Amino acid sequence: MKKLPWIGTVLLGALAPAQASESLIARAAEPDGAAVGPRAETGAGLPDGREAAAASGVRALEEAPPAPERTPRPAAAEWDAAEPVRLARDRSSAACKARMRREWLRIDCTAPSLAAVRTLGASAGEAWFSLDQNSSEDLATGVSVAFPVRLGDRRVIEILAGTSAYRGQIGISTSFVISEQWLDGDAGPLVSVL
Amino acid sequence: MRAPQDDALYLADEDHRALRRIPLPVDVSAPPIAIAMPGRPAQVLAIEGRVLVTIRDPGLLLVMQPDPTAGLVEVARVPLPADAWGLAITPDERTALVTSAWTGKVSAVDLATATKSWSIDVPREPRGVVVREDGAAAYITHLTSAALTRIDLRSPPQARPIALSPSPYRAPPDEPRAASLGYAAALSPDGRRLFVARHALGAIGELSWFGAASVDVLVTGNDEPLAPRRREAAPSRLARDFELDIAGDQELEAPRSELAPFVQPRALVYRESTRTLLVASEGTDALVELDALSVEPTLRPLHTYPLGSSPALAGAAPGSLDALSRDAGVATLCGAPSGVALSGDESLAWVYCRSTDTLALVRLDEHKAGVPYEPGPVPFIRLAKPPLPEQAAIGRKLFYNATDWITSGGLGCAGCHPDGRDDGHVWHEVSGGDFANFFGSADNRPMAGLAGGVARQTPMLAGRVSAEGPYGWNAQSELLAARILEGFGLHRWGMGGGADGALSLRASYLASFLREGLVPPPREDRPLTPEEKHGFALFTSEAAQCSRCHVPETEYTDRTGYPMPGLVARPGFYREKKGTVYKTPSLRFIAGTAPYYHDGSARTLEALVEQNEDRMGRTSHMSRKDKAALVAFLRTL
Ligand code: HEC
Ligand code: HEC
Repeated sequence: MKKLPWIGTVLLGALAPAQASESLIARAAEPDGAAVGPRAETGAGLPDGREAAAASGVRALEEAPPAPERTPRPAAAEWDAAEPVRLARDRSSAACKARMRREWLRIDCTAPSLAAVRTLGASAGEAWFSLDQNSSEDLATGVSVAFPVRLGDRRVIEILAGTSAYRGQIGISTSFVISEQWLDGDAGPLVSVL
Repeated sequence: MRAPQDDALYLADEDHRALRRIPLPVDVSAPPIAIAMPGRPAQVLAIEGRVLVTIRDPGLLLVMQPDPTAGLVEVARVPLPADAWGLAITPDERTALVTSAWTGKVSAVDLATATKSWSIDVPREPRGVVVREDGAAAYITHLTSAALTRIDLRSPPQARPIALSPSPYRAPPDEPRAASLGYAAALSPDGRRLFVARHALGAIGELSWFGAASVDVLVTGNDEPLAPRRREAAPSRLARDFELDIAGDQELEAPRSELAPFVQPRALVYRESTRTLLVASEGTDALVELDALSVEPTLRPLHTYPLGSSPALAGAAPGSLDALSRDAGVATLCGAPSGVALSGDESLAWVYCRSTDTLALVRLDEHKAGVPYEPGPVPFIRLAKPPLPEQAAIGRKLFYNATDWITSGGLGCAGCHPDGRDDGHVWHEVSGGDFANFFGSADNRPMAGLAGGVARQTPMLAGRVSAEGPYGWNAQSELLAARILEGFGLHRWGMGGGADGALSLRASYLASFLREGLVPPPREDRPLTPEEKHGFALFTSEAAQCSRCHVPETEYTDRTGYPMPGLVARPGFYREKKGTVYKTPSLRFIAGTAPYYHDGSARTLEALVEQNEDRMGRTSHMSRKDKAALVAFLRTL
């Protein structure tokens, strides 16, 4: 029953074998013959982040959750030794890199005309933000965000770009959004950058 | 779960009163089998060896069985409260749960005996229904309210509201928005998250007039919203020298992403392999894919699949339905998508497009690094000829459409008049020098200093538009088409416009659809009870005078405007201009259109009669019993 794929006014009784094999063919043509994980062989695709993780060998945050800790935010130098991690999904064009140090996650991204970063909502734990701004520029070109990742977390962070809005006034629009959630029962933290 | 010999897609075609069976794989050249239904079917669900279908009027659950020649044959029919709509089964497949939209009930059907086990009352317009993984409870979504209903499936069953405010970051911290259009919900495969697609009425954002589209997530472990509360003065960091005063500016404090990546969400599916959600966007003729791993999936949609028109139809013959549709700015390939199903490998979505009577086959983005999605032509099947004459058939497309700039600024008629009914919302009509617009809340402001507006509750249209006129709460439009034209200006931010010919053509198409295509809600045909008879006598009595204005022969209205003495402006709204008159509204179907009055100030019919005193007709002389009888009669209309 669980798998009944129906919704709205339409229901699917079954799958078309022709279509199933079509997608398996597409799957065989993966970039650089990268190792395809066991999930992929069953015909289930991996969303962006996990796919990339499987390909690069970088640890996926979701599959290796941090230990339950309450430590202070790592000092600047500590981040240098932090381990790169892959997020559940990264679809922004902001070229983000994620690292873990103890239970702290840090995400550094580059994107044009960044004006602000803010928390829209968070269940707990303060986030730390920094904008990377050249002294000659009005706006920033990089952003770093760090927050603790603990069971029970839910958090939404919005990164804003400066725009020239109507009548030459300046405005702001969403550049990308970082979402974190880790509910009891989840394999690990789900972090998306979109 | 499927029977291997039953590789088929089933589709409930409400407008043709038919269930369609489409063999898989879909063969674009083979016509699907249509099975006639005893009434308009709303939803269909296939389980081991059986196909279940809800029928709106008469309210039924049909149990069917695949049959090699007929496609499907009926094996049982279970009478249910009228307007049976949403459908789900418990994990043990023993019980089906059905929502009855108009009658406001949820029923359980024992599938072994094909009998109704129970029905219980829930708030207005229950639509979507989803059963928890543990089978202990069901969640119900409503078209006219933000709260869900949870029904604990024990005996006796128990219903209670579950708060889930729509688009929480687009509302002030302690003022959750109202929601409408809660047609659909879906559980994550592990059952721990429930996704609900809706409209957040009056949500805050730039140029926001009706609000925002929203998929809100409920954590089923504790029935709490997934999104953490919005924090006042949320921590933030600004670029050095960036001079914009964000704090205190509601619009700048709200997320600055697109307000409505989809419009009029009609259906929702979870795509397990990519952990994404697919929303059928009725108003924009598109399928929209969202990240199911995000706390607020609507903030950043992953993919939009536009389905409205096929380039091949650009050369449609002059005067053909396709050419006329194109001229009216509406879909030719897939209009008003209202159902979605996924292929077994989830590489393909089948989308049922109601206003074009088509089935679109949408190849989905694989969401894999290094596998970019190449858009291509969307194959489709035409399922049937339009069920209405040409004028009304184009009117039907316009009614659901939210993209034609001449008819609206981004919201179709069905966005406020779903099913030709009402959204239960009181809109703020704000007028400036040369415009008048509807706003979802007093927080949506056309310009500084202008907020609030006069209260205008959405009226029901189905079954109430046969008279020539006048129309509008203030009897301001002589003819139906004139009120529709007025609406083209109201349903947007700022001024609309278009050539007179283009405007009036659309208004006449829509008027045809309103009269020929909208289906009035079901009404029980039975003799009045003694109490209702007493109510009728009171209603028509000289002492009460109700029938003087609410004339029974003409849909219970005289269509005349009257001043309403003693009206006080509701909080958040302006006071009405002196001398404003209100048209006697039709009382047909009044039981199902709460709240009441142009400003929604009476929450129930009981409250309306109780507080009336002698403002409208006379009720102050009536006993408690009389008043109850009067209300009982009103409910039969
Ligand atoms: C934003 C919500 C909204 C949308 C969208 C909307 N309506 Fe309405 N409609 C209302 C409200 C509110 C009223 C009452 C206002 C009044 O009549 O002064 C109304 C009134 C009407 C009436 C008058 C009914 C009567 O009995 O007097 C008609 C007819 C109507 N709408 C048709 C339409 C059509 C056709 C469309 C699509 C082109 C549409 N509406 C789109 C909210 C909406
Ligand atoms: C003088 C004409 C008149 C009389 C007499 C009259 N009504 Fe009304 N009725 C109206 C008008 C006008 C409205 C709309 C008022 C408003 O929206 O503020 C209305 C609204 C209503 C509504 C709410 C309809 C809706 O859709 O919101 C109900 C119910 C109703 N009347 C019942 C009655 C009953 C019962 C009586 C007899 C006791 C009665 N009316 C007598 C003119 C009248």
